[in-house]
Amino acid sequence: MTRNAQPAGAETAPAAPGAANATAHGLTIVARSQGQLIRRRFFRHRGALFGMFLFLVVVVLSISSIGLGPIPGWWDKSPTETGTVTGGGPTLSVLPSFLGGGGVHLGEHPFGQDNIGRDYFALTMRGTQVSLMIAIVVGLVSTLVGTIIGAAAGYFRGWIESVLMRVTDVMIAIPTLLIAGLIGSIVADRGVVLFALFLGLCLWTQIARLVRGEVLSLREKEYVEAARSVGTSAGRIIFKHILPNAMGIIIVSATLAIASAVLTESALSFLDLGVQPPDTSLGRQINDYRTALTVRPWLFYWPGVFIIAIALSVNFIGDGLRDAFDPRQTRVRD
Amino acid sequence: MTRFGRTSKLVAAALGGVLVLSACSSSDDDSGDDGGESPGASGPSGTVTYAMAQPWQSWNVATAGANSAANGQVMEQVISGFWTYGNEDGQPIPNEDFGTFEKVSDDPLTVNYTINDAAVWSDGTPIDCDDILLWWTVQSGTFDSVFSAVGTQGVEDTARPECAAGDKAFTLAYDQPFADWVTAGPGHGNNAMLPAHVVSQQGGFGSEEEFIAALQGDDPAPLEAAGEFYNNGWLISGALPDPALIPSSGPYIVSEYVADQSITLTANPEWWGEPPASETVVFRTIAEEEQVQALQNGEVDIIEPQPTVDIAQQIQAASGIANEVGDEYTYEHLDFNFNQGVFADNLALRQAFSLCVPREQLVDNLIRPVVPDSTVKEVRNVAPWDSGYEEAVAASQPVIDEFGVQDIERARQILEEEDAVGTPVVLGTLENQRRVDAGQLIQAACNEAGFEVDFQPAADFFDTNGALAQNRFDVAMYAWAGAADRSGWNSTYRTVTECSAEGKGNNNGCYSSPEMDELLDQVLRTSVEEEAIELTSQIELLLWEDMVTIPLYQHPGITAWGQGVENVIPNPSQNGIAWNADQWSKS
Amino acid sequence: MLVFIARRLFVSIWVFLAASVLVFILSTNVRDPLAEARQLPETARESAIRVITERMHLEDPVLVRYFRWLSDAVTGNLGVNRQGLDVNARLETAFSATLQLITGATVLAIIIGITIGVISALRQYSALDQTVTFIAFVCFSLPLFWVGTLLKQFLALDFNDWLADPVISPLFIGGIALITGLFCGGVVVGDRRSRITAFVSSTAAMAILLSVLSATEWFSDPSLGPIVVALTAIGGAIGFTTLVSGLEWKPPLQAALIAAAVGIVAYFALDPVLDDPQLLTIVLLLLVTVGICFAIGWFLGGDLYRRNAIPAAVLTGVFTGAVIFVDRMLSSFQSYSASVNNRPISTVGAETPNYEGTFWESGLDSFGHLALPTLALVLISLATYTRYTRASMLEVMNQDYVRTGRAKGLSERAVVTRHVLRNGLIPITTLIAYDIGTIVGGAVVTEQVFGWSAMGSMLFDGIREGDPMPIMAFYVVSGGAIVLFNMVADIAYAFLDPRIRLS
Repeated sequence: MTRNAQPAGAETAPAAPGAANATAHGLTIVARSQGQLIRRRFFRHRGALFGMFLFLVVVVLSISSIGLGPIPGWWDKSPTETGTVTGGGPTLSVLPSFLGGGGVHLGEHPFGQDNIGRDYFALTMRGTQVSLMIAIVVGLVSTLVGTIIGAAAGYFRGWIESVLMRVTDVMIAIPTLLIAGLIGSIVADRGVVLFALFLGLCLWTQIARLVRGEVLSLREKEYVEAARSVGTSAGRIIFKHILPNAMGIIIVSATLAIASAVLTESALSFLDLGVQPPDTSLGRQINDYRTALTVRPWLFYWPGVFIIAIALSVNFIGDGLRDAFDPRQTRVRD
Repeated sequence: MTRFGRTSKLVAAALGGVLVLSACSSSDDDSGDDGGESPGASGPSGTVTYAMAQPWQSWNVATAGANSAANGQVMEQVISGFWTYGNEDGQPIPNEDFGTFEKVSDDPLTVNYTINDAAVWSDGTPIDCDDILLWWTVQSGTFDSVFSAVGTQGVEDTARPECAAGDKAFTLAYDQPFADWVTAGPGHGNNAMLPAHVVSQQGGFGSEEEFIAALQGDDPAPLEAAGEFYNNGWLISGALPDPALIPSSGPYIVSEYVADQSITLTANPEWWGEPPASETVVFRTIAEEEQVQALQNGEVDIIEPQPTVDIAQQIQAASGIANEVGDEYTYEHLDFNFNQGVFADNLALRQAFSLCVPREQLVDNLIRPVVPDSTVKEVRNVAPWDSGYEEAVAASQPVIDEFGVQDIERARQILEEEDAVGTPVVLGTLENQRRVDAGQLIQAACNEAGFEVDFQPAADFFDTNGALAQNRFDVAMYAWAGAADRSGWNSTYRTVTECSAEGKGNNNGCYSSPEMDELLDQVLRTSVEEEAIELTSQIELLLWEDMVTIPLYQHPGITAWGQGVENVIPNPSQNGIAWNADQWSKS
Repeated sequence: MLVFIARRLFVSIWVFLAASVLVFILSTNVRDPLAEARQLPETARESAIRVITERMHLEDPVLVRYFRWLSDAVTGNLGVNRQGLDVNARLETAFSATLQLITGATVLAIIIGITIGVISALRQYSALDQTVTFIAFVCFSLPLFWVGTLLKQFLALDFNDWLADPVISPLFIGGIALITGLFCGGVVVGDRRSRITAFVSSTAAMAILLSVLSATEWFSDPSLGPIVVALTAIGGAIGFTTLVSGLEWKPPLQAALIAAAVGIVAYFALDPVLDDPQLLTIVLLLLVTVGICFAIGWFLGGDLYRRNAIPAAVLTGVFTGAVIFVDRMLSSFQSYSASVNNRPISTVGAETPNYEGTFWESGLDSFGHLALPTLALVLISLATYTRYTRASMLEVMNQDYVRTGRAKGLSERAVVTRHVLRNGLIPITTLIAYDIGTIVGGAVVTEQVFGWSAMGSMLFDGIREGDPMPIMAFYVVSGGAIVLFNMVADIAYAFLDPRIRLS
């Protein structure tokens, strides 16, 4: 069953033993220095910086433009407001006039309009918000569940481990799109948040396995032994001594879970098993306008560009974090 | 040198082996070089390929479970009958190749049928009395525990036709008038006449006479095995049934089937009518979104997708593709809930809602990009190309002028008079792109007028537990299939026994009016055209006056075909384009 | 070991069954199977509802339905769907279509992915490595359905249009040549000068090649011809020998060259056989090739070099055979293209219905239908293998035994092929085993986009109709594959890695 000895990005390997040794000596000082090390390594990772920047751009753009909930945005059109279709084409122009372009401006409808005259920029931003929200909820829920199950299984061993890992095996045995599709067609009608929660409840297996592997090795460490010998409770050991040291692997997995959740959500919505109207998401929009590629290409391209931007930036951040934490794992796309 | 010597020996050995091999297999001569197309010296040639979104599931379209449009399309040219829906206007047209029929009396309604003397199944068996009796037994519901049928309306009112083995003529005598007597006779689709000799043989009968006797008897027991075969033996599970079980009575036979990929029809050598234009017609199973690209890429010749704005424009923008757009029989409408909620007992509110619905804008944004000359639908049960359409519109015009044209001011005024500004309204529909767009337009307009529209598109809208069946709507938006028949929509407005999922039938809003029930009875029982037109006009007027439903638009249809494909004639009936597939050809 | 396998098998079966209960319960709740029947006209409604209720046993509790399914399923009967059609038959065609789709894509993704991963690890932190990493991330972040639609438009429709007049624009030639040059320049080891030489020469070579192909309209009637086949075969011989043993010893090189020569002779000698062969003929020829080349290697290698000469000869022979095969395919291209309206790359489905042609034409028909979905699948799964191989290789390259190898003066080729590659690829085999399990269930989106009626459409029909039977059939195959290959991966890992206790 054990399959945790996997290769990792070896380029950062030399730094890791130092950090691990430091952990064993004293808590406060080492924690900070480890954090500094990680930060330094992360910010030296060009891909990660690029990812961070791109991700922030997408988040800030989507929230600031049309606002969120009661907060108004700077863009004057809403994703629900219908209107007359004025040609429908996009008015965005980025080529300055002295180069023969139309000048740099957004225009009335930068991404064009849809069938019933809604502003497609506002719609895309709304779709981006929903897709991001789903991805983050899925990432959080699956990380939480996976961490709890993995930590409990790894720490308690015995029958608890057997039961929890069998449950994990059962979830793994069901193909992602099968379980997500079934869940999607049952709960997607009842709102985006519920859909995201349930999706998160299906996609935690990878994290549970990784965390369990990490905990299995951490629980044999001397400081855990020491804590156990002075009678510290299991919960305290797990939360105070083991999980903080497994944080690297958890954070990295959570990041990658978010990236894959963006793609899973959009695939489900594309197959009509995900977000249901009147809600919208990027995958939903591609599904609605997949036949528009040759006649109204902007309706097809923009949501795709934003899906790629989100997935790409989060993947880069994850890669940077992995190099920074040097967890011994690699990604598998499902 | 020794090494070289060994090398050359090796080469020689290798060549030897190679030559032996080539000797073994060079006996297959150079046949098959001409990529499959073999223009025959006589008879039809060529292949036309049609893309169909749904899979083919049954050779017998006449059972309750198999009555799908896709099954009907495939079987249209394989099983023929006295009539079929066709032409540009989708009306029933008689098929003289198969036989002739004639109404000989109005009271009692009596129709004489004669099958063409030359008519035979493709295995050579004549089409005659046993086929007639099997058809009648199934369609009349006489042994409905044995034979599955889609519906029995009309035929259940006829007496069992008299005939003996070998007879080709029979009479249907109705015990009460029936408006749609033409389409009640043996025709296409769910009213098709299937090969009785196959059913008889599979049911364990020794001879035609024996089977006829069983069909004429009162006991269903001896027919159990035959019924089992009739209901299930023609289902298509992964492969075609034995060719002996699927003899054809039309221009084509089903010759090849690859599950979920394609169905191949080839010309029926025993066909006695005019030979079909192409040797083979292939139906390929392709999802609608992929059809335009497949047509552009020459993988199929004819497509007929549900047109979204983009699919229509994509077709119109593509080069080398001919297309025709037009309205379908299917039409979209809004139903009010008469059982519960704000509209149930309040005509004024219904009128106010009708006044805020942007019917013109819906057509403008969603339909005209596909069918440029489409118009708002003014009446429900007759299509613009049906007889009696002008009369029905003229009768309803005063009400349409008053309440059927969008006037948000007026709607708001009524709401204020009724002290109902801010009335919440649940607008339910099945979730798909066009309906979601339409719902959002209605929501925007009616909110402006002072309603609080809660738009709820749902994938389970039609489910037993869905919004429509469970009355969880104030206004429901969906479509009726529509047809030239008058019996098809009769139950839609008839008072129901109980307003529940089981009890309400097609009358989803549970509208009830004794006057309407009376009119509906009359229209079903008249076989005189003028009377039927007059009654239909009265019904439409009453529907507007009571504001039962709001008609929105005919569904748009689009048909496109590639270069060199000829004789594609779209028609608005559900029968679709395959009605004249025997005339399709490709140069 | 046997005890370990038996126990693992036992656990797998229970896991599989437990998951099947979950899937069954979920799939009875997705949609109302009577929804369409309820829309029928009143006269037809009741009988339709009755038929479906009876057929699907809708009145029984879920668990009763599950155990009915299970007891049928263990006898190999997967039941009938809502229309009463046999699910086994559907599964059979669906699975064979999916298999057809994923086999080539998986093999290609693994081969290309590992190759690129190895190259990028060997040139760590070079511009090439950075570019590959970036492209891998982009591919990894692509939504498949979006890419698929684009591929259909640009690689099928536009490419087919282009084939009608296959002239390559100068801009395009320049671009491709430049990319080739940059790649070659990046791969070559050595100082600045040799890299620049590599860049310039490969750019020029590519530009000339493309211009000639364009000018002769090669793409409308492509073929390699004897000269190209011969040159490729000899090049292959040299290349494989370099990989297997290096060029410093004669016998392996001789063996490989003779294998290539035999291949070239066979190119002419086999002409009549290859006009319209059966699949069996091809398989036989492959076996004969392997046999002959084995013999060549055996005899020429002598006792000393046999270990190197045999693989060099066999690889060269098979490679030459493959080149001849490709040449034959290409020669049939024009006639195939003509038989499908000159539009060889298809956008939809698995085959042209009722296509009749020679072995090569039918092969091209499959290829034309497989090309785009395979490309899409390869694009996105490539990244996993590339990244994984790179990490694994880098890990191995930092090991002491690699350093030792270098220190004792082994050639770079020997270090890489003998120590790095072999050890680096072990963990990848486990990954592949694990990955293959998920592929069956992972291809459904691709199938949808490219209109393949395969496992995916069976699953989605089931979901749309609220019909558990097709869904369960999908699960039996895709979930079964996951459970099976997980088990295989675990066992293989336990077998390969002695650190794992087999208690």
